[in-house]
Amino acid sequence: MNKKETPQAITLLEKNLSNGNLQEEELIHFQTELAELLRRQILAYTRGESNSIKTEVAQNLLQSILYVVDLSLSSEDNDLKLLVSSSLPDLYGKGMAIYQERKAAAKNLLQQVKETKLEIPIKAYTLTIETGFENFFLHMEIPLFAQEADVDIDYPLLQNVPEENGLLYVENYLHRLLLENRFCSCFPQSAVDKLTLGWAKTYHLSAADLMTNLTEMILRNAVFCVLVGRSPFELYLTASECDSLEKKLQSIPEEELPALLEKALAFLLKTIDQEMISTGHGNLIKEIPDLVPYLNGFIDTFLPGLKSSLKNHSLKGQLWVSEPLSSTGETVFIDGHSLSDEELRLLLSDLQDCENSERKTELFISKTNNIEDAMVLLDTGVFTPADLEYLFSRLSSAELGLLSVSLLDPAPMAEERDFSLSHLELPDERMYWVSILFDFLTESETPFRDEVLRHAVSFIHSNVFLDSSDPSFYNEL
Amino acid sequence: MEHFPILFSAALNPVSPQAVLKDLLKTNERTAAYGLTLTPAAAVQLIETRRIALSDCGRVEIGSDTILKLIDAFSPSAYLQQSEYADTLQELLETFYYMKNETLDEVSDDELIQYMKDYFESRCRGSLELLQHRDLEQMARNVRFGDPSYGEIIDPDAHSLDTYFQEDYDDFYDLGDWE
Repeated sequence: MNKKETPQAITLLEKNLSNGNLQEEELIHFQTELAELLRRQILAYTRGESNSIKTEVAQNLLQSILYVVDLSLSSEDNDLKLLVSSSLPDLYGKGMAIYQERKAAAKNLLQQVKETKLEIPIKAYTLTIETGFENFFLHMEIPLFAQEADVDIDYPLLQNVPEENGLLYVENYLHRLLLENRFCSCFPQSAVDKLTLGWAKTYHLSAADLMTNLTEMILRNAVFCVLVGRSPFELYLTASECDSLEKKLQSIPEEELPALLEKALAFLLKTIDQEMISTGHGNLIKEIPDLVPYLNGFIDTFLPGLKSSLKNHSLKGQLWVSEPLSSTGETVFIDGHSLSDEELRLLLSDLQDCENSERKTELFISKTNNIEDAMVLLDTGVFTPADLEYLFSRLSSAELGLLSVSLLDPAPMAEERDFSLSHLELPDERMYWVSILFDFLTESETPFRDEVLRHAVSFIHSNVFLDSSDPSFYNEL
Repeated sequence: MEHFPILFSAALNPVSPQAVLKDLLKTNERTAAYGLTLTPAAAVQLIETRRIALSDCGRVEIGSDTILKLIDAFSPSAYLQQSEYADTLQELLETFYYMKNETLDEVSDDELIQYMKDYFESRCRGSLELLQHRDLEQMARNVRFGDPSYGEIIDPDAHSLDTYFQEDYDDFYDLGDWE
């Protein structure tokens, strides 16, 4: 637990003593009242049985008095006036009332944390919430050492509570944990389970023994899902996605990484918000204004590790990477059977004999069941530019998306990806029909083009290819 | 935190040395009946001893009740002579703070003074050496071991000297196979 060593009252006195705003008599008056309060606290500590105590105990008692007095001070400029003009016992009494009020509020906060508790196997998380605060809230009166909190907190937060102690630490911890609960609960339970188990496996631990913050685990994978164009709710990346992302990120200047992560995080939160609104769960960002600034802190904590992993080619170590082409991937495309060389030759010959674009397209669609065969035929140059334009106009957005995967530019964020020719280095025979496809897409209506783009991005991340023998797909051709 | 130690020290020592000196010299009115008095110089020295003893033991004290309580407890003792009165009080004061630490603050001021007085009068027969290094040490050990009857000192001679020497003799003359 971080400790704020200097009480605000002392800082205030010191500051004003050195700049002459505090008179010596005022300081003496303060000391005298402080002495009386300390005397009372020492007698309370020893239950009136001893007049002397260890110096460190006395110092802690004094810190406790000043901690409570601090609660009655605001951060306003008139604090010094308040401190020297009010009686210290009065300020202490006021601080005690505030302490009890805030402790009751913190108890309510714990209740909210319990109500939003996630169903995860991490023992540190469960025990911290269920039993970690029992002693602290057992008695509501102010303890002798108010600056200390009798809590048993094992679960680390995404962002540690800075420089607070006692009740203020507990308040802050619970507030942050509640934010984290609300955020993590937006993700599907099954995806969170897989992520937790995946990280546990990475650390060679059981999921129960993980001492890692769940929000951080989720943010890492969700942000990178955004970057590769996968739905952030899936919370996993394949090894190949991770490799390709690593290459892309390595090509970006280091100073641009924070902005990229910020964009990805903003997109993630927007996606979550949209999902929440569409499912009738309210508007997360508007309802919890503290959430975005809190989660933004993730970038600062994550960046150093990310930079170093990019230098060391170890991005996979920063994320949970699922088995490549595992069954968890979405099947969006299954390839049909391929033609034999002889069948291909015959089809090519028939295509050459076709008298017009309509006939060529019809023959191509009816005989081709495999994307590789289709591309081989397109590469042969049997289609004139006019044939190609006709063919493309007959294809659905999904089919065009499949053919235009190579046209996707290498921008790391899926949202920013677009079709481009400038990055392509293709053999001439393929460049011929691909550039016509590019022109076709450029001239298409924007909504249709966007749909093709969306399909192309999703095909990159699909596990297997479209079943081109499936009539539901190729009937459109 | 520059001024914090000053505040701390001032908060803990609100009573002026002059006030303590006055209180100490006032005890002469009660102790004179036993032929014991403190000179102003001896009283000042006692105050200084208290300051050093507290500092050496890492303790702080509110008020100066301890010296006064020690004077009231020990002045009726037949083992106290005027010639060594001030020195004995200094030793008792140092012993008191030292024992508060050694007993982990588990024994109250009044109880500790009572035990000091009892041992001094009975088992130690006025010997500060025995009080400090034998009986109070034993009592502190008992406290630290959680013995509820920590004030009861087991006489080291309970293990009779005869038995002790007999065991020693047997060890020395362990004939083993010779017998």
